[in-house]
Amino acid sequence: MTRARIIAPLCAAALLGWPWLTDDKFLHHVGVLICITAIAAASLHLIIRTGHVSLGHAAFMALGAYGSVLTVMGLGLPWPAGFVVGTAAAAALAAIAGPILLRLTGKYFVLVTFLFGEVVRMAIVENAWLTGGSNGIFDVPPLNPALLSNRAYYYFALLFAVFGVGLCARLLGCEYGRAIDSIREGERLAECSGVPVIRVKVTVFIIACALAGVAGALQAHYIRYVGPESYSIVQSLNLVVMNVIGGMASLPGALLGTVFMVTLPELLRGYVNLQQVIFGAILFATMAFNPGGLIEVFHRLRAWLRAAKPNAIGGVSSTVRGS
Amino acid sequence: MTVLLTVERLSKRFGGVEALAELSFEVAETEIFGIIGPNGAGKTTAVNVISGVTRPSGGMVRLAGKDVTGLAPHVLVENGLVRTFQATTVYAAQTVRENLRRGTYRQIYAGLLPSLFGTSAARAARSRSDRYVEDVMHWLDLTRVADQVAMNLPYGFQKVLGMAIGLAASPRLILLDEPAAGLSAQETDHVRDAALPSSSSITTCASFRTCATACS
Repeated sequence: MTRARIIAPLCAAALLGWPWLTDDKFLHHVGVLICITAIAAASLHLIIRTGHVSLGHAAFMALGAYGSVLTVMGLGLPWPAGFVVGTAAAAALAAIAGPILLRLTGKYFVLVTFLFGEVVRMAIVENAWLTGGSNGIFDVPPLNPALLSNRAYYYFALLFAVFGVGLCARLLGCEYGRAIDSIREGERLAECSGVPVIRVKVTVFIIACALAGVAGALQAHYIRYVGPESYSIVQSLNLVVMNVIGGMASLPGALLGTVFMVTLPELLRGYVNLQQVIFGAILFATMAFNPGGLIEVFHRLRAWLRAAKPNAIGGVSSTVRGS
Repeated sequence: MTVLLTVERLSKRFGGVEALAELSFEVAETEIFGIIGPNGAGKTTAVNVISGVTRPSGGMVRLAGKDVTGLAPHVLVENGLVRTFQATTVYAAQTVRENLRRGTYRQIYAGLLPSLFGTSAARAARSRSDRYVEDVMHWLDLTRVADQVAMNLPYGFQKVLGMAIGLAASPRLILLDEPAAGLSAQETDHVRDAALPSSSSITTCASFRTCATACS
């Protein structure tokens, strides 16, 4: 409890303060991308926690992005209306598709969500009158002239990220989260303890896809362009990799994976020819040495520190721990 | 004594195999009812059909006068009918206490929003079920292994834990599917004592000795 009281303000200070340590717009840009992607990765983490790996999560980001952009540009409504429409569109599609998709398990769910994502992408490409087809929609207006700088948009995206990730954390931490974990670890047993398995899965799926919609809308108004290729299987797969590389069964793992997967390609921009090769090699090595995910590094570090402690401060350690 | 469960002409066919043929019986309040038979006789099928895991081909199940034939397992749990599994079915990676907390879902679940916002009703339900979990552990002699991870426990304890998860849902009627299969005589006694305090139960066994000592 006391430790959380020290760590939380430190984290808050770091998140709020770092953009003022540098004037590098590129770093601010990476910060914005991390905030947006963190919402998407954390929301996919919710679905993964119910025992389903979705390969179509980017499709719901696309719905949020197109929904918001079309509301703002097509109907001329203010951006909050756009965000609401985009989020609602993603949630509505999840409510329709969820009850069907979530009755599939394991590899069948993976394959069908992959196809589902491609169907959504094709629908966007084919309906050029509405969506601009493969070219997408250019010149999306900024949300507000004050949000034109990367630094300002970082704080805007951070607000949404704190809310979105916080919602995921709270959902997993409360009694509902216990039901979610029960389903993943023993679906039949959970059902025989009274957990309405399908209902819980569908509810979680709708919440997660709505959050993906928020991430999509945030991204579209930041990049100020929407196109179908931003929401292809590559993006869906990236979100899955973030969860796997961070540690499948923990939300901090998913966030760690997000930072890793967003930052690394950006840092490797200098080596254009080798970018993909180096990225692949690092990814491979990380997974090979940390099968439990990046979060495992922290656990090992903590265990190592704990083992080292008695030597450092001798017999006092027990009283220190007791305080 | 009032009748709690009525099973009438219950049948289950798998293709050409008739696993259950017009099974009929009644279980009264606080009665312990045994179903005995060799392997393949259809005991587990009976448990599966009554608990809603599989749907019957014909017949009817009534719980306290209400027709519950073919309802989903979680609906039956809400009505007080809980089953256990023949194989040790527990949350292997969790502690004994956490296993039981998950078993109390029926009592603690206050709805998504109350649970999300941690309303006082949700917190009250939580502490009530925590107390109940401690009671169940004490009752089944699991308190000393409360913080152990389930998969590290001996087989007999896992079997008892599987039953404890069922009892944590505070059922009116518990269906025990071969609670004594694969256990030594001593472990069987432990399991049998665990089954006794519950209100009513149906137990299936392959051995006459267990069945005779457990049932009323």
